Amino acid sequence: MGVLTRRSVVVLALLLSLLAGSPAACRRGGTRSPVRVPAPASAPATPAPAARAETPAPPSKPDPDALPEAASPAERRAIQVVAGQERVVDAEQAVKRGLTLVDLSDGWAPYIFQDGKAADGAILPNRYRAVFVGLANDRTDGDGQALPPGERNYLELYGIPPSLSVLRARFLADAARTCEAGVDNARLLAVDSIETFGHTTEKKEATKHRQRGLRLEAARAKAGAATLEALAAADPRYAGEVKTHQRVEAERAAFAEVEKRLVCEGLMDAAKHKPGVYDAPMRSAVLDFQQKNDVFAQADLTRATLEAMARPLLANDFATLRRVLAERAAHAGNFVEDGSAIGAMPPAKHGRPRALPSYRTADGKVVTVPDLVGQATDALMARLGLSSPEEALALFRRHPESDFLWLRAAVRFPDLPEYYGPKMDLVAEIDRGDVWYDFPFDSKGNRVPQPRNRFPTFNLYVRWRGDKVPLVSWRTTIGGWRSELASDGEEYYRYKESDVGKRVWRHIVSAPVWLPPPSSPLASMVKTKWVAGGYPRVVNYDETGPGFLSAYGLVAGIHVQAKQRGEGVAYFDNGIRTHGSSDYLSLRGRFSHGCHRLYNNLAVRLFSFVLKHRRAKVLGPMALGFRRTFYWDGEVFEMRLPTRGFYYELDPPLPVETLKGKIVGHAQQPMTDYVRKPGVTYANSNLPSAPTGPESKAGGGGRAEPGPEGKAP
Amino acid sequence: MSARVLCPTCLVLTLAVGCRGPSVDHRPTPTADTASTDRVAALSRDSSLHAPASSAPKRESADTMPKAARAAAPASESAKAEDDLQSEEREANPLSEMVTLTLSISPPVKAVVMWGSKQLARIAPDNPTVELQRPRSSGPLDLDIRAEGFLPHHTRLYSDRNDKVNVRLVRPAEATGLLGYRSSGAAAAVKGKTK
Repeated sequence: MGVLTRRSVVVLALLLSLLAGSPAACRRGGTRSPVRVPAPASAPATPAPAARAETPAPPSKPDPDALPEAASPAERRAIQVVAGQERVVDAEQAVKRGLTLVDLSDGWAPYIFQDGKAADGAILPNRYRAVFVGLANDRTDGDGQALPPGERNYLELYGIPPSLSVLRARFLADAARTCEAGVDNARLLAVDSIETFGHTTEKKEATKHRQRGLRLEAARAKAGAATLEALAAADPRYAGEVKTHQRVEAERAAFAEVEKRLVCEGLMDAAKHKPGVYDAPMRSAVLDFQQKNDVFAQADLTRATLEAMARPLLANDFATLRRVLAERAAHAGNFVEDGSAIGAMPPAKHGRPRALPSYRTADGKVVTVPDLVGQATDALMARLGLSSPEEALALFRRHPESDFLWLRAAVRFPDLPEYYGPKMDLVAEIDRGDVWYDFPFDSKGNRVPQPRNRFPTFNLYVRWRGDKVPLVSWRTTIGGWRSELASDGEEYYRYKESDVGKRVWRHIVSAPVWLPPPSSPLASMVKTKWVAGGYPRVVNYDETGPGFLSAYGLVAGIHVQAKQRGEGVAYFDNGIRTHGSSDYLSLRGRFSHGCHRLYNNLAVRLFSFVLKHRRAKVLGPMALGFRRTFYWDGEVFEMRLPTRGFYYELDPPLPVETLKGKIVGHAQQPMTDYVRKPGVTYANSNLPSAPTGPESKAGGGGRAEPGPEGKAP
Repeated sequence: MSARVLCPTCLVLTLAVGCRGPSVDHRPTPTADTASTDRVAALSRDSSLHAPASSAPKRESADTMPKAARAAAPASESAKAEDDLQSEEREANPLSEMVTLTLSISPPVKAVVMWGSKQLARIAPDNPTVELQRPRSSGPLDLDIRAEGFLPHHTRLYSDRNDKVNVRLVRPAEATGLLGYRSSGAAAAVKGKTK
């Protein structure tokens, strides 16, 4: 297929996908984006794109938010696309007109990562901001060290969306590729998924497949059947084997298309990959593809992965751009409602649909809680003239990378509901859903199914005119049965309970640090890492943070119980937090050690929102002075954690309640002791006692082990 | 190509404390293909609650099944009073372009400070302190201090602030008192190492 023909096909496919409402590109199965409602009538009309200037322009609609061109200095510039033409406008004038300035610059970081100011005016540095920006721009790694040229971070699923400059480079590179036509999408989508194996099993499976093929071919020849289907029809004994053989054949054919797509997209170096084998370079490339395109899988070749691979490169880039702009819009508008609040409403009953979340206005009307994030994203996309990948490409072509040092858009966002204000009466609630306390294995070591109809949800409400109005409802985690290293050095199962009852968030922490409990296996605390031209062994700070891989994610709210103590109130910490999580797959039905995990980007949105709409004091970076020296394999290692993270204090604290949920199964109370793993022989005949302090919880209790460095290193 | 490679220690971590996600190491770690494969597989399941190994001898234990008598005490009873928070010591200029990193060792002996494959400094017994100027927020320095008669010592200096660390070097004979000596020593013995 020639280039022109190929492009025509791509354009046609894009148009078809857009005609279909483009949710396939933006919100396929397996993404986090909640259901959105259509754009409001107040949203600016989509102007005619510049790329179609040669076609007769439709009569332009009145655009009351269009501002005149202005020759403002960079710090006062913003852009608007008006009737298909981009113009620079005056940002101050835009604000006076009630427009919102959306920061599109590469230096953007969410509010919660901004520096603070002490009462005396001194700067309280939020050190993670530089790392966040470096990661978003593919400039640094999670430690803040420079990335080698050509390497990329794909961290959207970890809560760090790519910057606009990174997307610009992606659009320009993908637009220049001519290899897409070489991928046969029909073959790619002919299977539901592609089964993959580890190295050894893969070899065995290949041999098995080859032998099955030979066997079937011999049987077909012997039976005089024209095809394997005919063989199966003639002799049902072969039906199962033929079906398996054909499925594997189809998967192998699809596998070859996956290889082509990964090479085409620049994610896999063909020279390092052995065709037909799911080797390390290919697994790494598939994982990159999934993380680049917001596909929830860990290198498994799932249907969602194949569907994403079947889409044009620019369609995927456009979907990413929309997600990136949604994040910018949510933070610029300081709102959190994303259309998910319906999840907090009572389920449908007796054929009646689930009620929509709503609130009462001053004049007594009942109004549905809007999807402000979706509406604002639509408004932003429209104001930038972005309704297709081609228009996005045009935007990136007319703006050199240097423009992303200052670029902002001036947009009319949807009106805020009446319940908005600087001191919203917010309450958080965690519904544990269906809870099993029963041990999940029988005495023979077989897994006992513990199905759940209702999964845990995190709900945020605002109390307004006597009602509890749901703003969001997101999936979260609760504790469950986990492996734990006991004091006798053996691993046991233990039920990690998520505390039930009323608590408060008093402190919110950006870039929190998690302290590994003393029982942490030392092997997990050392890794090899590329450092200054070598691969030395270093202390593994991935899980401690601060960072997106921290066990606490990018942000955390600490659950504490307020108790009256004499004249004052004392706060008790049992190690439970609501926090972001890098383990994004765990949000799909797995368990935590007791904490309530959220997707990192949603956790960042949530706590930024809380800080903007509650009275909060910036405490700044808090000292920890943690130091743990240990011996590993003939060498001495020191883990040094000078800071706990950047703290905010809510005044008053924000109520958060964890509901008991529905206890299903026989046990009505959680076990507190260790339970031996079935099938494992233990040297110790007595069970060691399980620790009960907060250190044993998910968070390690957040209590420091002050080292010889003292408080502040 | 991507900067992401699955964490070499994640599998161990997963089995021990429950994987909270793939670790990131920003250069390909030289590991065998099969190991990488297994790591990906490990990440794809909730490995903290893996089924028991079928090859392990199976026996029914009285402690395997839960007993109602072991009902939990209210969780809040285990809570501790919140730690007092203490602000970090303020820097004179938290926005300065450069930071000063200071490393001291004791006892004062001749030592070499390695940063990856680079030799960053030599320490002389008469001046056991090294002072480095680094661009602010250019990433931490993971250092390896080597001195004759002492175990290799790894520490970290942070470049997002003026940072200082005093390292007490450990002689092989003193290592017995260190956290992890017993388990690590046993592991080394199994592998036939003589470090």
